[in-house]
Amino acid sequence: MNVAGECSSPNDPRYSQPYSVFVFNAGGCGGCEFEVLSLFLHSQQSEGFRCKFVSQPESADLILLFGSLKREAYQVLKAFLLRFNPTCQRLAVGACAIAGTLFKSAGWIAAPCAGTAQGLPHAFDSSWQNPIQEFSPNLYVAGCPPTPEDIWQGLHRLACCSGRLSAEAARGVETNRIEFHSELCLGCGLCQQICPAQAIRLSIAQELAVGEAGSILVEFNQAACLFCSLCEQLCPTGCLKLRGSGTLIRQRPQEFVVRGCLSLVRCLNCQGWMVAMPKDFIKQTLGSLPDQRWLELCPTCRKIASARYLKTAAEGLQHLHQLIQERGC
Amino acid sequence: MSPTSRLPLDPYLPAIGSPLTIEYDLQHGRVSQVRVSLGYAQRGIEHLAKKQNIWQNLILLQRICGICPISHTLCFCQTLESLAKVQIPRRAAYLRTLVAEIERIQSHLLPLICLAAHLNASSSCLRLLFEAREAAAAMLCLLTGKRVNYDVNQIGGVRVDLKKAEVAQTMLSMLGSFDRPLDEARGSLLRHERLKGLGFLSSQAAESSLATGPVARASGLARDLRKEGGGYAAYPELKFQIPTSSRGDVLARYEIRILEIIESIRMIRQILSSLPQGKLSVDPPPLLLPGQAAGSVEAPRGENHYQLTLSAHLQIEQIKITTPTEYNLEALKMMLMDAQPEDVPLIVASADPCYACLER
Ligand code: SF4
Ligand code: SF4
Ligand code: SF4
Repeated sequence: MNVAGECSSPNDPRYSQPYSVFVFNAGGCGGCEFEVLSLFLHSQQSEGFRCKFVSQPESADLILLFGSLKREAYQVLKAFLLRFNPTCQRLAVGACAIAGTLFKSAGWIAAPCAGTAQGLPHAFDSSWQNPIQEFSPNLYVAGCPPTPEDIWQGLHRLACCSGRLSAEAARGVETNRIEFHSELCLGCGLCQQICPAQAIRLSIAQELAVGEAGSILVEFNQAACLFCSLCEQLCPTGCLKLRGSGTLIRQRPQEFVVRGCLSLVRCLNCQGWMVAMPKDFIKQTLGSLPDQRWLELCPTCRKIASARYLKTAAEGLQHLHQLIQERGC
Repeated sequence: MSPTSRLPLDPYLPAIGSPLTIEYDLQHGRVSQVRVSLGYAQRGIEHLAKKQNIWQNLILLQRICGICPISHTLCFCQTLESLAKVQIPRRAAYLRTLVAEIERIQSHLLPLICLAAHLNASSSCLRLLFEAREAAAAMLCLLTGKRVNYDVNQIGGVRVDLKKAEVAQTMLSMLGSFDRPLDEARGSLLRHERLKGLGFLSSQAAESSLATGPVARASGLARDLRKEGGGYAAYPELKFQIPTSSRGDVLARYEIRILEIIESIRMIRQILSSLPQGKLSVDPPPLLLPGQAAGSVEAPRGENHYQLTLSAHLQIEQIKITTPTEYNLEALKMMLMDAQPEDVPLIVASADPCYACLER
């Protein structure tokens, strides 16, 4: 097991006893339960570090929470929290527990362990209030469900380092699952529209003063992402990739966000803001770049210009046929 | 002391329990009344489904249950496909069936693991069963790229493909890894005298309580939607049997599950050796039509039934989902009647209730 930090030696005395894990199943779809159960096998196969499930909160070294926490379940969790040892570590597992994702908009999900109060990026939806402050996890493992390897590694980290991993060591194993190539993005917002988990947000990065260059911020919240690949399928330019490699373990939920910035330019004609055309993508699709001025017009002005340029509908059609014949498609 | 005492099974059962509360009254040391209280894990899936579009619904409905995700999307897709009157390509039907059958294996192994844990089986037995489940998950991962919540279905076909012959070969060789765990389960777990005659459910009781899935089949009802009414997906073209038993006890329910796993393995072999060529999805994409439709599939735990109305804007206007655990709840209560309190967990586990699909 490759775990960052100073604690990967299997002869560590802390390995001598199995780590006691209390699992709090708050509901959800059962997918996380499925993967947490696999920890049993990981523990059996492991040479050094082992864990065991306990049913008494008093004897637990770690509390593992997953699932969509409904208010009723939250009452039970609160009662349990009083019984834990104060030094007990807290691990939040799964998109439901960290960000609410799909189910949060039902309203009755008391929701996740990290609140809007902490300036959470997943709370793109500002109307969504989070009542839970008590359960503040030491570590987050995202995914829907997270892979057992990730959960195992998260456990291991908390067990060995009590969560006090140096920032560098923690970052050493963190890689993003979502790859975003901002140079290809059109800023069309299709991905934001389709995402069932509201894990994508396109926003104007700052207030624009006259004469200032603006930008659009594209944010992907991997904590809320279900890895359903709808966005990847729909994205017209293929600038999104869900590679499925890398770990999704973070110490703060904010670190799950992948960001990209699209620069805005002024339209040559109307001076309105528009996303700069991704030249690489256009070159790829058309084979060559059209006239530079063409790229500097906003979509509306481009339509007007092309209508003027082609004069009549018949001429336009002819032009189209010509193009099709040239490219043989 | 009063003759009746009330005992709850905590919503948070020891170790990894499900948030499902079962309360029972005891009279003269026997269970006299059972109540199942719901609401701990309810997420409001039906409510959410109306807010989302069809594509997002595929992702949402799949997350009703992480143990049998494909049965939900399959049911949803088939319902909409029947409304749009499209016929999916044969290859897509085969791939759907393939995933559904691997899922069935994986789902049926879960109650066996619960049984092994409850009977304090040797850790080697438990480990074998866990490894079998891992093998099923690994097969799903090979095929779909995910172990759980694999997004396989889309309306009009599937989103995954089995392109490489090596993958099929690997999967075929992995099928062999289920033999030993199943032998072990039969040889050691199901030998326990305790399981015989426990939690009896007569076939009349199964019939009247609308029991479904392995619970109904263990009570002698040969009910299986994969055969009934001509079947669906690729089932009409596959050779398989519906195992039934007339004993109706805990043991019979586990035996039925093991036999079903064996049947599923047979089906997977057939599919992998004769996967038809062709498209993965209807082309062009199907034109959805508004209207009302219903559909059901045989999920690992039993019948999964969807009834929905699609509005003119192709939003879901109304949706009613009935899941196997919901059907089996009455049967579970009947089984528990007159049981001794120490047997209650065993009987409950044999019915394999799933909190996720019960409390959507
Ligand atoms: S995070 Fe995903 S897999 Fe886990 S309980 Fe929630 S919906 Fe299920
Ligand atoms: S894969 Fe894309 S569409 Fe799906 S939840 Fe993640 S960000 Fe949203
Ligand atoms: S990532 Fe793709 S879908 Fe999303 S805004 Fe950019 S181009 Fe559009």
